Parts: sequence; structure tokens; C-alpha cells
Amino acid sequence: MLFNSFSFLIFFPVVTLLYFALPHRWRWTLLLSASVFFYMVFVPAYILILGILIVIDYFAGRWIEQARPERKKVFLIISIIATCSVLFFFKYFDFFAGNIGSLARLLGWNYSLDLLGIALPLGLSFHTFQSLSYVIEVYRGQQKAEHHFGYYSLYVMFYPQLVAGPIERPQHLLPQLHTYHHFEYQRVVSGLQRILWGLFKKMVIADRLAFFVGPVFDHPANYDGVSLLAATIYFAIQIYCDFSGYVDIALGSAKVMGIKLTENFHQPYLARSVSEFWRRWHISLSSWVRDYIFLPLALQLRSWGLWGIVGATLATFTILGLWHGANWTFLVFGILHGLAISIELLTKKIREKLASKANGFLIGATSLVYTFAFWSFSLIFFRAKSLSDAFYIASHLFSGLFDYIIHIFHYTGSAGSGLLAPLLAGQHREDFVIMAGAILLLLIVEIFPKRVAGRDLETLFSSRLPNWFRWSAYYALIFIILLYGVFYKTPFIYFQF
Amino acid sequence: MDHERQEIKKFIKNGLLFCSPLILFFGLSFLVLYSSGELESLDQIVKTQQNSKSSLVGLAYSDPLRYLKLQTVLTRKPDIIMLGSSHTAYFRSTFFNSPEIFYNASIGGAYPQDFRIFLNRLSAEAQPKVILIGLDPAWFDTVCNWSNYDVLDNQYTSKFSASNPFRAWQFGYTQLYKDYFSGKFSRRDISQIFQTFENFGLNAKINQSGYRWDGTPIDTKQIALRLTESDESFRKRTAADFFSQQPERQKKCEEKSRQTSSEIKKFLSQSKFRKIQVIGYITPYNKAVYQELRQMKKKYEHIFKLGSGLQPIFNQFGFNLYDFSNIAAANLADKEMLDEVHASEKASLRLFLIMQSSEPKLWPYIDPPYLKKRLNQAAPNNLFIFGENEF
Repeated sequence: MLFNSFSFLIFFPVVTLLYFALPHRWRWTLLLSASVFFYMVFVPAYILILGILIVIDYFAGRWIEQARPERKKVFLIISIIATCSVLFFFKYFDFFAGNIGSLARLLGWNYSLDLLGIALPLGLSFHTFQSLSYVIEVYRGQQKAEHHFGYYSLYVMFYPQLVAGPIERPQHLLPQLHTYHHFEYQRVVSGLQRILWGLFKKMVIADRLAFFVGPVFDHPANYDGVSLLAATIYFAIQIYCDFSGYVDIALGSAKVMGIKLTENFHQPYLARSVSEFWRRWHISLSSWVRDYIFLPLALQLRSWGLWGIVGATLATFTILGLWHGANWTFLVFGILHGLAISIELLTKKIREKLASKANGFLIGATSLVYTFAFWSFSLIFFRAKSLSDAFYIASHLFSGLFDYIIHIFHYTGSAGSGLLAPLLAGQHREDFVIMAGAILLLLIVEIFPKRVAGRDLETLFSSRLPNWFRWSAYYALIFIILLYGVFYKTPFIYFQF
Repeated sequence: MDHERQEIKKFIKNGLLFCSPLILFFGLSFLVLYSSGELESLDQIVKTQQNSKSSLVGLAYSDPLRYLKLQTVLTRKPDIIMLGSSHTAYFRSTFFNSPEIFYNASIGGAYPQDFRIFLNRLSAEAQPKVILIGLDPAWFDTVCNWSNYDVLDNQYTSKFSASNPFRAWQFGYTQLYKDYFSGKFSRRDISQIFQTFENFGLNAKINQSGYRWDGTPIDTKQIALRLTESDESFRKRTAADFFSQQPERQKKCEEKSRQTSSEIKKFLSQSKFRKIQVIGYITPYNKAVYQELRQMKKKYEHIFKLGSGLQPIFNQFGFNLYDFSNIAAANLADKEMLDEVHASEKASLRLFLIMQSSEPKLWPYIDPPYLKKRLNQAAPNNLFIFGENEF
């Protein structure tokens, strides 16, 4: 079930109403049933795969906890292999089989593996990481194994974060599921505010930007450099609004019920380095790979000094890239980020020395622009349909840009449509204006309150602003969504992972 | 517990207060949509129009034409039907001896696949004896979108019909306000919604535009505009519109041509198998556009070869194809065209009279001398011959 669907509009209040009406001992049953239903709306059969994952890791957790010290690792390894095998089978088998076949053909061998052509169960990558987090934490002794099968199942399947995260650590989510949550007016309102804001970002900005991005990335050869550059930047905004919009709805839905999920974004486009970017973007994933891949690897390679950290960084980001998808484009995406962070590591001292001598504001602005530019560039590989498309876009980004800039300087007011045309990707000017206005609103809401008032908007809205202002803002947002939202069934980008 | 109850009461109270303007917003639009027939069940629309020849169907916020036309044919079982796009929409039941003989199942924005889908969905009892088909030259050009067969087929199904009211509401509940504030209709117009019971849809109730009992459209605004336009202005506008809106339009696309030809061939083969006579024609351009196409012959030469290219396919199955792309060849004048590609009722009758002379299967159903007489007696506006509600 999509968050931006009519069915969710019915599902959410019904489930929430029942949640608060039921005594605590039945709430887990309700939430689990609702989560199962929520997932089965997509493809019913895939609940079996999720079920298998849950059973494997539930028992693995209990066996790890009960086992003798020398046997714990065995159960952990079995659990990791079993869980990752499920992921590999559904997500990566065809990719590897296809590439092995291509390599074999290149070498002149008569060998091929039949492709399975199985669709990836929704959110499998997220469930896998969340389940792995559980068994690892139990193994490390940082989490007691959950004995109640229902609660464990709910930990994996809790519907607000079921399909695209955030990836929750067991220490964070499990206790909350066990706790009785009262109905609190302010908390419920705050949750609903967040849902509304998430719907705005998804339906008004992200889905509208998709009209500008899709045609260009689908047929890049039909567009000039300015259009390619514009689409690249649009996609950076689209993916932020799409994913953070989803997260807002997820967190808001959970908050209404008294459950606090992990924040997944912290103004990522204000990052001043790629390393910092990954501490602000998809935080639950980046912290997961840091804790379970990077740190153990770095520990293993510690004898290599700084180069050990570089090696661990490259390996981590290669895996992170592949996590996003079984395609060479995602691999390149990951490697690019690994390289960028490695270079930042290796040049840290030089950069700090330069920064101390230069103007602080200039350094800050340059770093911000560089980080956003790098991220947008890497997203070419994230979004393109193939490596060849990605390379075409990357190599033609600036073609015709100089002429366009000259054109701007010679603008006399009568050739406005000529200036705007490369930015429209064949869409209507009206859509562009709506999109630009919505992005401006996004900037005002998400950046300025913190910069100006020192508080985020949620805090401001919770108590500081008068009722009439808050309600006017809500109505305005609702009507903006109703009038300018895209109402076709558009799935969230991160659902494909 | 008491505190929690207080919190819940506060939430309910504030929630109801907050939602009341929204309820008003949605409620008003729902009332208008419901009363205007925009949310009416499609089967009910077919049934009402079956029983009332003056009923108009002009839905503004949904496009269920495929389902409506198919169900009408299945209900009425006419002997002759017309299939095609809006270019073939003005063939009327009044061309025939008895109005029940004919139904115009043309669909605005039709694709070549619609022929076969429509035919496949006709039961043996409901299949006609003759199908007239109009082929758009646009189906062979670069801008013709080749729609997915299953996506089109779905629009003929009961599942599509069942979900149509919801779709209409989903699109209409905000569009209604946009249309009102942009002046498309006024408060006075809304009162008409509650009066004209046989008409369905805002377009029918307010503008008296929509689809008639025999499947032909009536668009009062378009006609009013056309009637006030001078011939010279009409020629300049249509040529400019045609070439400026879609600069790549009508450029040949090999792949699309192959797909369309293949689709037509399959349709003809199935019609032959089912013993249905097919009469095809290539729809006309107005003179101004045709002459410009001729001048740019190299770019558009495929249009002039369409007839000779498709004729053998029709002949293979014992059917005829008439090339009316050049209206001069059919003795039509520009003033009988509604625009650059849509022939008026009068122009359509002329084309029909030419075709019928070589189609013995049509002869039992028509009275050519009568039709010619009506043609000669046509009103000076040069677009229509028969009355709006004449069937």
C-alpha cells in the first residue's frame, strides 16, 4: 500500500483508532495484522519470504543467546548466510548470472546460467539489514533475544517502516513496541503535521519533478547539455523530497501511535563534505554500514594505518552502492562515493591548513556547492537506465552551457521562452512555476526556521505559533496538495530497494 | 486515564472543527459531481440513452467512451457501425433508412488497436453486418503514440466501468473548483445541473455538448466558433495550427507504419472470418493543410502513398479502401470541414455517398436519392444537414 494512496487514507485512521481503543496486550496483534495487510496489498505471495526471514532470525536470536560461547558465532554465521542468501537470490542472482554469462562469452566459453527473472520483494534490502542488525546485536550481547514471536515479527514488519525504512536497531524499536503509549494530543497532532508535510514533499515536489526528470533520463540523446544539467539537479531534489517525504510520513504515522522511529535525514544538502553528507543522508543506512561493515573491516585492516581506513571505506561504499541495486550503475555510484570520502580522508590535513588561511564564509559556501554538485553528479549513475546512458549524460553535461549563459546575458525580455525551454524537458511552463514555488516553500520550511529562530519547524509549530496561524498553514498545505499534487499512483523511489 | 480521555476529547473536538471546512469543500464538489451525472454508473448511462433519443452524454471529468460505446453496441445490436477516431465522428444514423440500423462507435483519440479490441469484445449476437472504419494518416507518423494493447483493452471492461465514478471524483473534486474560478461555468450554470435529467455530465448539462443517441458528438462552442469564422481566416488558422503545434507531426515513422498496417491487417482478417463487411477510408485534411503537405512532398510523401500502400491489404480480404485525404477528390470544400482534420456532418455525408455507390452491402439500408435531396436542401451554414435531435 502506498502512503500517497486513497487506501492509506482509510487504512491509517482505522488502524490508529483501533490501536488506541484496544488494551495494550492486543495492540501488537493489531499492528502486526495491519502490517501484514499493508505489505500484502503490494504482492501477497511475498509475505512468505518475509515470513521465512522472520522465522530464521527469530530462532537464530534465541539460539545465539542460549548457546555456549563457542557455538554463538556458528549460529550467527548461519543466520547471516541464510538471511543474505535470501537477499542474494531475489536481488543479485540475475545480475551475477548475467555478468558471468557475458564474461564467459567474452572468453569464448560456451557457458550460461539461466536468468530467473524474479521480481524483488518490496523492501527486502531493508528487512535484511534490520534482521541482521538484530542477530548481530544479540550476538554482541547488546540486545536480549526477543522471546515473543509476535513482537519480533512486529519489529521486522512494523508497517510505517516496513517498505523503505528507517532501518531500526532492536534496542531502539523493540522496547517501544512493548511499552504502553497513551494518547497525547500534542504528539498526535505533531505526527499528523509530519505526515502532511511528507505528502507535500512527495506529491507536489517529487512527483512533479519526475515529469521533468523522466523524459531526459529515459532518452538523454534527445536533450542538450543544459537540459541534462537541469535534469541532474532536479533529480537531486526529487530524490530528497521523495525519500524524505516517505520518511516524514513513516515517522509521523509512528509518532501518532507513540513510537519514535529513527530520523533518517538531517538537512543533507547543507553538508560541506561527502563524509558529512553521509552523516546527514539516509542516516539509518549509513550508520548501519558504519557499525557492521566499516568498523569491523577497519579493525581488521588497522595495521595498514590510514590506507586501511581507505580500503575499508572503499569496500563499504562499494557494498552500499550494490545494496541500492543489482546494476553496474549502482556499483559506480558506490565507488564514486568511496573514492570521494577516501580522497577527503587523505587530504584532510592539507584542506584544514588551507581553510585556516581562507575566508570562512567562502570556504563554507564552496564546500556546500562542491558537496551538492558531487552528490548530483553521482546521482546520474543512480538514476540512469544503463552505464552507457550515465556516461553519455556525464560527458555532455556542459555542452551548450556556455552558449546558454551568453544567451542569458543577451536576454532582452522578449525571448523568455527560449531561456526556459531547456529547463522544461517538454513540460508546461505552469508545472515549472508550481514546482519552483513548492521548492521555495520547502527551503523556507526546512532551512530557515533553524537558521533564523534556532528551532526546527516542528518545535515552532508545537507551541510557539498561534492557533489561527497554524491552522491557516495546515489548510494552505492541504489545498496545495489537493490542487497541485500529482495523484497518479507513483511509488516511492526507495521502494525498489 | 482521565487525562487521556481529556486528550482524546480535545482531539475529537478540534479535529471536527478543523475538518468542517474540508467537509464543506469536498461536500460541495461531491454534490455538483453527483447531481451532474459525472459519478453515474456507466451502465445506467447506456440504459438511459437507449430509452431516450434526446439524451446527451458529456462527461467532463472522465473519459469512459470506450466502455460506453461498446456497451451501447452490445445493447442495441446495430447492423452497421463506424469505428475510428474523432475524424470519423460525424457519420450519423440519419444517413440510414432507420436510425436503429447504425451506431457511430468512433472514439476521440482512438488507436489502431481499438479496432481489433472492439471486434474481439463483440459477441456473435451483437456483431454488425458492416463496419465502416476511418484511418487517420496520423497513425503512421512520428507523434502517434503506440498505446499498450492491454491498457486500451482494460478500458472496455466492467472493472474499468466499476472504478470510473471513483476516477471521475478523484480528478473532478479539485478540477471543478479550478474550472469554476477560471470561468468555464458560473453559479447560474450550476442550477441547470439539477434540471436536465436525461443528460449526463457537466459538459452536457451546461454546454449542451456531448455524445448523442447515435454516438455522434455535438459541440456547441466549437460549432459557434466555426460558423462565425471567415473562410480565409479558417484556412490560415488551420494550416498554422496543424504545422506549429506539432512540428514533427506527419513525418513518417517506419516502425509505426508497420505496426499500424499489421494491426489493420489483423482486424480485416478477423472481420473476414466473422463474415463482417469492412469499408475503409483514409480521413481527409482540409485543402489548406493538404496543399502545404504537397509543397513539402519530400517530408510527407508517405501520406500520398498511404492509399496505394493500404489498398492491397483491403483487397486481399475483398474489402475496399477509399482515399479521401485530398478533399478535392471527394468534391468537398474547406467550408464543409470543422477544422484541419475533422469533416463535418455534411462533408461526412458526401464521403458516405461516394462510398455507398460501390458497396452493395449498404444498399438495403440507405436511400441515396433522399440523402442527395437533403444534401441539396442543406442550410446555408454548410456544416449540418439534419437537426440536432433528428434520428
